[in-house]
Amino acid sequence: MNTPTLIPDDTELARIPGLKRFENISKDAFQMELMDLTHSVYPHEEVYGKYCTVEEYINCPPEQVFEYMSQTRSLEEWSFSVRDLVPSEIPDVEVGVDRIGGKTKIYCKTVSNREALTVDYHCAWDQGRELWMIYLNRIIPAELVLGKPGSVVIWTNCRHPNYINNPHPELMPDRPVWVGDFWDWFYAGHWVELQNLKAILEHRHAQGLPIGPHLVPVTGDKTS
Amino acid sequence: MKSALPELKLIRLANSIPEKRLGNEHFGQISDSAAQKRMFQGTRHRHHMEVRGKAVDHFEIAAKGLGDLSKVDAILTNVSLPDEVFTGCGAVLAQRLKLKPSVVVDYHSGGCISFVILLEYAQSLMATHGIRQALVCIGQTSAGRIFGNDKIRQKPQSAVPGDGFSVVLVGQSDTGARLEGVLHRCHPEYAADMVISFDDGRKYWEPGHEPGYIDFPESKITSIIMRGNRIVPDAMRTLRDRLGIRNSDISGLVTNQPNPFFLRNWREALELPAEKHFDTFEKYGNLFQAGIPVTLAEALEAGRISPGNRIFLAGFSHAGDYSGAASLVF
Repeated sequence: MNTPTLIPDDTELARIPGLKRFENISKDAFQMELMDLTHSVYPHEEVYGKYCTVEEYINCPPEQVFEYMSQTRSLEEWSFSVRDLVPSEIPDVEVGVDRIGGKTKIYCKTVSNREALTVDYHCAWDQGRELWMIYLNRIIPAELVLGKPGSVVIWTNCRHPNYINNPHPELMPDRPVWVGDFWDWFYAGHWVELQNLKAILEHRHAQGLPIGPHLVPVTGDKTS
Repeated sequence: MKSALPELKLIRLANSIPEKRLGNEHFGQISDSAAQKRMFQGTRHRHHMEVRGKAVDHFEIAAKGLGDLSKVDAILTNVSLPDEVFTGCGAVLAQRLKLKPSVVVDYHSGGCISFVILLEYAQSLMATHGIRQALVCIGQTSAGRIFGNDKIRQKPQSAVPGDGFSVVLVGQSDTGARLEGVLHRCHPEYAADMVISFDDGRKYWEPGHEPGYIDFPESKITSIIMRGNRIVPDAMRTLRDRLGIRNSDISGLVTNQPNPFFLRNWREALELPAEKHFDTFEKYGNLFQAGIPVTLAEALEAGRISPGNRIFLAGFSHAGDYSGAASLVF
């Protein structure tokens, strides 16, 4: 039986306004559009206002990067201020303290896919029922994209409306800041944290150490 | 070291614009490459000098509009396509103006940023040669001499160049704008990317019938545009930081004017609104090296620059072989 050759339905696509495809716009016109879109500088708001992506090369195999990132407690090592994670009353959700918000509780559920090498942290301040602060991470074998061993990590946040308006202000009324107040620093803050991740993983990989997180028993008085 | 240099004032400027004004209809609008269109499009008029006219004629007209030249000890010129192959026109201008300069420099590089570079040299000459005042003469001649040719004007890059001339009196003075800072850079890696081409393949010194024209290899156009997007903001910000000032301390900007996209991108890099970035692109086209002094003179004439204003000059030349920036305080 012959399998028919299938091609895109250009007639249907032509009815969709705004599409720019080789079939309906010349290469010249397309290039002119690109020139117009290319500037010397870009306002921070334009680049990081709605979405914030940071990316870095890490000299550590993708499987190990995945192993490390997919354990929620690794965040206590490489994040700036997430600490003291313990299981919460909600299944699969851990609760800790985000020190950047004083005594703010942070809830976190790690959703990862070993085959796809994705590790997403679904988080929220103050409550764990609606986890809307989602840190999307994709680990890519550097061999594929850069032609060298190691990993590339791409980390994206999307500006959920809750960053602008705290949906539950009653849960911590005396706190002077809201997590969304930091949105304009997300690029810088996340880039610094990604450097932490890189430094830890490259150090342990180079030294042949267990990838971690390296959790040790509490000694003496430990107060949060 | 810079602070040890004598103070240079930009005392007066005068332009000479050729009479022949051409509209867009004079030129063919053909291009197989949109990137080329982007690089060369966007003007309404441009002026062409007469094919057999001379840059020195225009310098003479402009210089005679500058008033007292009795303290002029130096003449510095830069002309895109010089009047004569071997000799520059600085000495000819001195003869016409009956001046006896101790220093004449006919400077042949620097292209669209040569005015900034010659301001820097004039200041150096004040220190090393005791120059009191200098005439800085900047001329763009290639529109009438090259792009107006009947065979060349149908090329996509022919519509945008225009001719113009400016003579600027600089040096010691109680009045005028103070040169607060200046820098220029050479980028040798981009030095061979703009050439004069002849369709019969000859070199300009070889005999032939085909007219020559300025050419950029198509494979390099995107890269040249990105150089302009990078090296001009870099020069401006380096000067800004060297002066210890912020973008908000800069009142206005004058650059060379290759196309509207560079103009937009450069003022954005200094966070300046369009009305603070003076240009004459629409009426004069790309004036190459004459763009900065011609536009500066017109902005002053139109009263768009006030006492106390800090005006930045900036740009790059050819395919990116030189970049520079200067700051003038009026």
